[in-house]
Amino acid sequence: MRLPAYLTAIALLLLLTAAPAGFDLAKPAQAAEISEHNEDEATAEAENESEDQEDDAEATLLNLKGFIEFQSFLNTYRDQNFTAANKKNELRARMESKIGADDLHLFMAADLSYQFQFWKEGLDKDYRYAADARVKRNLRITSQDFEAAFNELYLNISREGYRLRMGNQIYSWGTADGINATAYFNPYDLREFVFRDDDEFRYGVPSLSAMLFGNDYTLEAVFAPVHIPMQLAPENNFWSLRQDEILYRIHFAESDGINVEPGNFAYGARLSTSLKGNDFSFSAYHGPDREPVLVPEAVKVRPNQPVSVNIEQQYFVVDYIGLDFSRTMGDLVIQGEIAYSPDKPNIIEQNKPFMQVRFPYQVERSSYVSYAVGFNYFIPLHRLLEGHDGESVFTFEWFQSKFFKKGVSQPYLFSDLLTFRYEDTFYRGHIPVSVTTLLSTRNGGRLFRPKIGWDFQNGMSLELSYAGISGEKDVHELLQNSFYYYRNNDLVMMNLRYEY
Amino acid sequence: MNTDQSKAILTAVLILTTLLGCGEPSAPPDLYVTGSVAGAALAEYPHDPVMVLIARKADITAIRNDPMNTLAAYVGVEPGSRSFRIDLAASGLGPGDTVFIAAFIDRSPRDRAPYPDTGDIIGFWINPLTFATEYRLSSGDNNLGQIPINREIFDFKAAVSGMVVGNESGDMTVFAYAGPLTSLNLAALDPNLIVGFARLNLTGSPAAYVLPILPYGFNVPIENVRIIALLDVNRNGGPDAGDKIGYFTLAPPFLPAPVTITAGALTGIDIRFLQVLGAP
Repeated sequence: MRLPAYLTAIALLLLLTAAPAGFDLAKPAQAAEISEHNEDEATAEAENESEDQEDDAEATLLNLKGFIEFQSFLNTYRDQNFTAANKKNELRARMESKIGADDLHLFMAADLSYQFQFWKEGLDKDYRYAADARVKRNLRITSQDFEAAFNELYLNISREGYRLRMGNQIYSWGTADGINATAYFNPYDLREFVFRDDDEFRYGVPSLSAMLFGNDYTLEAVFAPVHIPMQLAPENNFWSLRQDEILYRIHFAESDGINVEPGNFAYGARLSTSLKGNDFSFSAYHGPDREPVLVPEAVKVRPNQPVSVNIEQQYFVVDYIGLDFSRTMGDLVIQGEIAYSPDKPNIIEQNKPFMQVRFPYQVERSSYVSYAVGFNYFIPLHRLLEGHDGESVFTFEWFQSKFFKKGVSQPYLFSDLLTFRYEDTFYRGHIPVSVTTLLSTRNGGRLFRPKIGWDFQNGMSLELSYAGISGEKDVHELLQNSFYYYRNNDLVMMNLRYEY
Repeated sequence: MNTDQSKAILTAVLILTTLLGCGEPSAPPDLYVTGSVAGAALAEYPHDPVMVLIARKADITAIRNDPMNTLAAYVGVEPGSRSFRIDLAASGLGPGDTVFIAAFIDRSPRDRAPYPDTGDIIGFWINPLTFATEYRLSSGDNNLGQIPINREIFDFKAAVSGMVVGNESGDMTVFAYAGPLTSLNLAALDPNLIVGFARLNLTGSPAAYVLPILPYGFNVPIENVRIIALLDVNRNGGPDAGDKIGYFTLAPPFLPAPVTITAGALTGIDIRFLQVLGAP
């Protein structure tokens, strides 16, 4: 008899809590027993130990940290039984390791994930990482139930005044808390809408980067010859973008990204500086766009089913210039960023009934701007609540993106988003709480997510959250917005994590 | 009964009511439409897609301009067996609802969704007894039999109009018949030769009617068309004793008179009920 998934996961994590909280392997293993030495041998041994310590700075270092996590999703849609409502059970191990010294080392941040739905067979299984087993361009090894991702895997060479890196990297350009308009290089993993953890929300890209450190500036230049595409949930996944109309069903084709050739290489640079307490960065980019153009390509007739509209993910080379800033004023941090492109493509609208639409949709380039502004306010709650020792933060952010050419359809994936978030911890850090509200002002989408947890403060933590999603349909659009697609995907989520 | 007991009972009732109200709602009844398509055009255009559409009303213009609200189903036909099985459970339709059912071969370019357009070949489900195109759904399997796809779609607008003479009452179906008429035995008429139909509720006084001519199967001018009407006096949905047959006629011996349909309106085609269906 198989143990239920929850019990299996909890048992594993309880075993792990008995392990030491962390470890460093800085030297060869020492013997457990101390043998007796005569005085001369003790002196010689002390001298040897001194030499060993001097060599530590140059010796190979291995530093390992990470966590093991069990995550489960339960859909709260009424018309299903409990077994069907369980949409995801995942064991994930994240390992961050640095091998070498600070000036020369190999850094790796890897995620190994395994998801299981033993009690569901065939088409009833509704969570898959991928439609089939593949190795992606950034070394991500993926299959239906297992995935190994190496989003950061690079060789780092640091010298006085500069740093070089080669390998899979994530460039955290921009200051926004949500969608970064100036994070040109790293595409999003949208296989769970916006519910992927921060450390797995973006894919690393194979690239070469150089950073120069000036007295009052840093300059980073990046060369990425291999394009990594964004990822949507595969079909037969709880998070698939399903649109079942009487007339048609939508099918999103997968993409391996733009061809790897010199014309499709990506180049970018970012100059960061501070002026009178304000942090500024100026950036520029040329290369494949981070997001695809979703092009309704063709219609296919299927027996006993509505026609299928095939949506292709097409990538184009674009140019951007961008600016981001942040300023701290006491308990208030204001931030913003903006990116402009003179040649970003998108589909031309066809405001016609479905029977009169022509395929494929035409694509045209347009000037485009995308920006985010917001603030974080560190609420001095201790002044109101005696004994409150947690960090209370209120976050507000507005994100918008827009095409200016008449007839070009407005951005599909992210636009016109208002974010409100309150975060705090109570009871000496044992109880983290947060409440997030996301509003899509263009199409009436709403996401409400309260979260509460218990931090055992020995590496182990438990988190429970709920996500309520609602969205409205635009009858004039062939493709509906994500909030409408996910309107029945309300969830209760559980995370059980052990950090080491 | 004291206050605490009342509260306890009320709480229990509320909890019980909530629990009874929970759980999965009952599933909608099964509702399928099955059948197959036939016709020489299928062999003539073997590689063109064949579609079946089920609409809430018989209005091809509404299907084109407002498909989301007009159509209840729009599916392809099995290419090998030429059969179809359409699940209407999620369509909002239920037993007792009436629908309009058509099948067509789409010969349009592949850069658009299939739609019955000029040059395509179409066929309808027609009630063999009443020649109505409305099908009343039943729960479970609704087997339509074969839908013949045998009418080319043309591009014209035409209609016949006139008065229904007399003080008749009942449900009237009027249709335009483009074939040879040797008797008024409706069972002997070929539904594939019907080029227009309309329905009217007669309430005991003369009434005006308009009969749109369908641009399917025949192109204008259409000669030797008879305008015939069936009056369901007892409103039971089928022809039986006491029901009447009417038609357009000119002079004695008052037989159905042929007309020629051209584009535009043909007016003054009055209908008189001159025959009564007898008992079998």
